[in-house]
Amino acid sequence: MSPNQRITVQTQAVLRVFLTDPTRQWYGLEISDTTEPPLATGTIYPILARLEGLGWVTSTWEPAGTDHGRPPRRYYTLTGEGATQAPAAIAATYHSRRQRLPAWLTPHLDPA
Amino acid sequence: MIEPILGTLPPAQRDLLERAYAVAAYWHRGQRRHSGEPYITHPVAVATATAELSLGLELRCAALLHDLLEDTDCPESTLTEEFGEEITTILRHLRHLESDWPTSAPENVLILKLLDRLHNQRTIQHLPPEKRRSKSHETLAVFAPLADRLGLPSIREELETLARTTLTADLDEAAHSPNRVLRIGAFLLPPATRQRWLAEWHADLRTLPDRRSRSRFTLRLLLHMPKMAATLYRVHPPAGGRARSLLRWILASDLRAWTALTPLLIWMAIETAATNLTDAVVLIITVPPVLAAGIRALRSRLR
Repeated sequence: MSPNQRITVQTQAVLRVFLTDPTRQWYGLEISDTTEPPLATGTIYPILARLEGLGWVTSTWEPAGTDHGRPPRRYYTLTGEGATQAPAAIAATYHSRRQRLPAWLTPHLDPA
Repeated sequence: MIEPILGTLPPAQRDLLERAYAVAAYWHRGQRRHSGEPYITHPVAVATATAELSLGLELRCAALLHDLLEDTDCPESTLTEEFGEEITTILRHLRHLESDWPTSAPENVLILKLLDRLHNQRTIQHLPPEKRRSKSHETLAVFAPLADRLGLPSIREELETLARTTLTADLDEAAHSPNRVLRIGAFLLPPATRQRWLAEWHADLRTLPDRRSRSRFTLRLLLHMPKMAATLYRVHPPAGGRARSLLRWILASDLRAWTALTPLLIWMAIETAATNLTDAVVLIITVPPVLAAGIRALRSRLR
């Protein structure tokens, strides 16, 4: 996916979750429960893999040592690159369809 | 066996390395690893790792000799005579690490210690469960941060993934989770990424409250596995041309692709049926069309 390619509705929903709090760490299942509407669980991971491949998000293991009674999760965060390129790419998708930008997106767009 | 360690070293240096191999092979003769392999395979693997990092001749030799003082009767004086003070000093350091070694030991000793652990962690399945667990915890707590500090992030990543997979697999056996099904499905993914995603899914699976939602999650993951494979093969194109052309050859004909996939499907169905019959029926109805779409997608990507 090159940035000027269209971004699917699901990918948009995932990016929106990340953009609501650009520094927060999320794990996969948590994201698919947070999106509006919720994603089918399986779809989230290919999307995350692709965003990670683009460098828009990065992921790390939850630090070891704290015992939560479950294996450590893989957490995802938006990168600086993702924070600037994702809104632009979503906007480009709307422009190419000659649709109005959604209100939530505007605050994330670079004024320039 | 030692060709990869020699790498592009000039002939004069090859001599010393070949001698180090001969000395190590002599003193480790008759010793075996937990896997049953001759012991010498371990120092050779560690030395190969030093060569892959393009480390110098001294460290490559020290890697070949690294267990002689600890585990054999080889006298230190022999090593000094044969290989000089510099290499012997590394070995002596390695043997007598202080309790605060991750901060106090010299960098080349730390690198050696790290690569030693990397190979041990790669072959950890041969250790008894209790030891496997404690070593994996130590890898996460001590060696992963050390790799980071030494500027070797890819080694840190591999160590973490290996250790977590070990700890997760052990938990798994205790809990009889439906993870075996996922493990089979994950064969579609590029081998280098498989462990990471399995560990991640396993953790997310553990978040779900009951068995029913867990099997639904597993099923959905399976359905999206071809998509996942296509995405990952695009993000990490297979390095070797051979794997790629084999894959292309298999995918080129429907018969070959389904010959490869059908036993997998049957196995998946049987595994699922063992926990939930309805899921197995759903799997048989829904997976083949999705797989067919996945094959078409992969085929067009690889062309």
